[in-house]
Amino acid sequence: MKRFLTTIVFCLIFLATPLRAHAHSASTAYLRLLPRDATVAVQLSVALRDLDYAVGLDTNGDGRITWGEVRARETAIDAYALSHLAIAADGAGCPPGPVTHLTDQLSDGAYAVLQFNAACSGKPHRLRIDYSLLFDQDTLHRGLINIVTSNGANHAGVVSPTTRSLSLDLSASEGGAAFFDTVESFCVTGIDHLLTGIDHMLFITMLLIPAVFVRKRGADGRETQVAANNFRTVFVESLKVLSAFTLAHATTLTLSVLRIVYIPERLSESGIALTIVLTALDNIFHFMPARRWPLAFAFGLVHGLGFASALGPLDLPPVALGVALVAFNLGLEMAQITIAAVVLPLGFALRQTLFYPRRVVPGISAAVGLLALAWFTDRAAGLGLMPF
Amino acid sequence: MTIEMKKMIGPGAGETPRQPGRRRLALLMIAGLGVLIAGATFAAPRIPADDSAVLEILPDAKSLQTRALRAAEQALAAKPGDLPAALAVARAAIHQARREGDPRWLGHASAALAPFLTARPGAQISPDVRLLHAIILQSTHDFPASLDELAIVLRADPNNGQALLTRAAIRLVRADLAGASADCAAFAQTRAGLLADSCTASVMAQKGAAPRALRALTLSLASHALEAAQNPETAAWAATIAAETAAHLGDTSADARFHAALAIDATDPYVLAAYSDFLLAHDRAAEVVTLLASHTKNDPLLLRLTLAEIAVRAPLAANHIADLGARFEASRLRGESVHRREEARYRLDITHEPARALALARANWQVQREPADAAILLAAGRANQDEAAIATAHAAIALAGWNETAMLAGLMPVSQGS
Repeated sequence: MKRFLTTIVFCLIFLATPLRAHAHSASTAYLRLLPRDATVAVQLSVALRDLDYAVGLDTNGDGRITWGEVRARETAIDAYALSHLAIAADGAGCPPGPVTHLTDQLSDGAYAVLQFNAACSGKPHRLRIDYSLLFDQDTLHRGLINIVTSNGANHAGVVSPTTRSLSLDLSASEGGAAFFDTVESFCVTGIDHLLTGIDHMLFITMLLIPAVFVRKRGADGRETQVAANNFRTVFVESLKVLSAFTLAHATTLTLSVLRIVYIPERLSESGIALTIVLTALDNIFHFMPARRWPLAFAFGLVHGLGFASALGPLDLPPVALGVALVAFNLGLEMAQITIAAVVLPLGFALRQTLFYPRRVVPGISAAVGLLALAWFTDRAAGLGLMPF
Repeated sequence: MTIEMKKMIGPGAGETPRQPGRRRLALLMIAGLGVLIAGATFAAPRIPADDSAVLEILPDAKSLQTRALRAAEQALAAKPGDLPAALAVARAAIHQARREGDPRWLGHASAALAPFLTARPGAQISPDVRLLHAIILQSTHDFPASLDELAIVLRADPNNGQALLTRAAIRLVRADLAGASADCAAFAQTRAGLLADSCTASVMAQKGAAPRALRALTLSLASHALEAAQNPETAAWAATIAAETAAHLGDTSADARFHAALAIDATDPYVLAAYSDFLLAHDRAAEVVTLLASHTKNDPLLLRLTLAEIAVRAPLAANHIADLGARFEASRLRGESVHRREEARYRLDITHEPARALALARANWQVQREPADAAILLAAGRANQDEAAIATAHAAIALAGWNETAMLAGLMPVSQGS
């Protein structure tokens, strides 16, 4: 058992590391394009060191680039980036929409990340990218371009001072495998959303932590909890909880994507934070019914609304929409099982120790509860102070 | 809803004997979960919570050299097409690239020169532009193109010292020892001193005359103290060649000589790499971890840091292995060949992919043929039981009279050219 757990720990570390994106110490920018119908979602990552040279970021000259300094130069950054990057579909330009500014830490330093949608006049068949960022200041600069089409096909290319444009025939990449590509792409979106959305991950963890205990009502009417005898009990309990959660979020997710119900994002997001607060509190104080699956179902309805906002409006034909929804839910489910595979064996191994139920469970629950409370306040009041 | 406090109970006394080490295991697992959450959270682009969050620290922002480069680039921007301004930028940027080991400055130098590299009708390309261009090409390992430029410069000006030294370095990298020797001699005719002696000694050390090279350099360092004091870079180069040669000979002075080189410039990437190789060969990996902890942005140094971290089982090793893999992948996508020797070592010793290591070592051997290149070719050849690669490496070793044992331990002097 111990060996098995050690293996899990190692897997965790290796799972976490490949998430770090590519980088090299020579100047490299990363351009990612996602063509969806007439819109191309664009993400451009440029090293802050290079941008500092091109437009001047370190305004106070102290050798440190702060987020405030980047924000103060947003207009200049946009003007520079958008005058050196052009996207065209079938010979007609796709003008860029408003730019969202973010930042990313890659292995060779911090990057400015620009996200925007380029609006083409129709669904592009042939996409052309003209790129000339930084070439006038650094001839060793390269732009690594990655285009992911709606069926999940990946195309990579490099732009350099001598090859400043890249063309791609999108129609050629949409073949018979489109169905499975859609399934794969939405499945991956589902996994990605759950694993990078830390709030959903913490909620699942909060739901599953107590599954290794059984709550019993004693003769005096007081509720106590004891460690589960065998893994089967734990497994069945977790299965019920996760299934209820999935069924619930699949329902509201479908209803929102079909636009039968509409809940403002601010409401659904603060609702999600509230479900985490309540579940974490229940792990400490046991004020809700001992059976967890109805709770998982009720709260799952709220989380489904949140997933819907991640998926966005989908203008797909009915069959493709159904496939996409099933695939997205499958992806979410796989990610949930991954979390369960971490939390449950851990809890099961430690369920009979004193410190796990007395220290670890309340400790983690309290920390998560506090964090979720902060999220709730932040989201409900629309403060926008929390980073994720 | 009323919240009732309820007591949580643990296992009954004596139910399960407490196992020692369980708590540690639990902590480990919690730490693992932390790593997962951190990895998942920070991998994606984010919006920092606070305007005062420091995203990037510009290396060396306040140094004189950095400010001089900025000023030169601003002057050129104000006067585009001005040759002296462009040359000033290129010189400052090449200098900066050497100090920091950051290739982006070579790109800056090249960008400043680009408008002057195409001959306009009736006008020659300036020899100064050609020379700086040759140095940039040498640094990006485009040796044939660099030699072409140097040949043109030297035809017009056979005693151009910088051109002779640059060509000597390239010839040394490509195991053209006779050619390198001739360049050093031509340089010494007009400018005898520590620089000329260092050039000659670096060739001698690879020619199988390491003891003589070490004696000559020791003498030269002692008799040219003034030149050394006036030109710290020359002094550092001489001290490094001496240290590497001593290390190769198993001379006890090696460690002190590396320290002498580091005393001149503690952040010189070349000296740091050479000293790290020395420490790794002598089972002193823990010192490499300390020495290189803050040099993770330089790929060759990150490789040595990672090798050391694996040796001492440091926790950061897994992250650095992934970082190196990502950088080599980006380098491949960029179509570069600068760090093939480093990547071969990475594939051979870290990720254990001998076939890929051999392919890289072979491709690298086509470009550069220093002892370290022969060493990686031999090691990769042995790992794949590839007789042809082993024979090629052995032939080179026999021809030059290198000490194979020291070479395989990573203790061979390599020229500044790589």
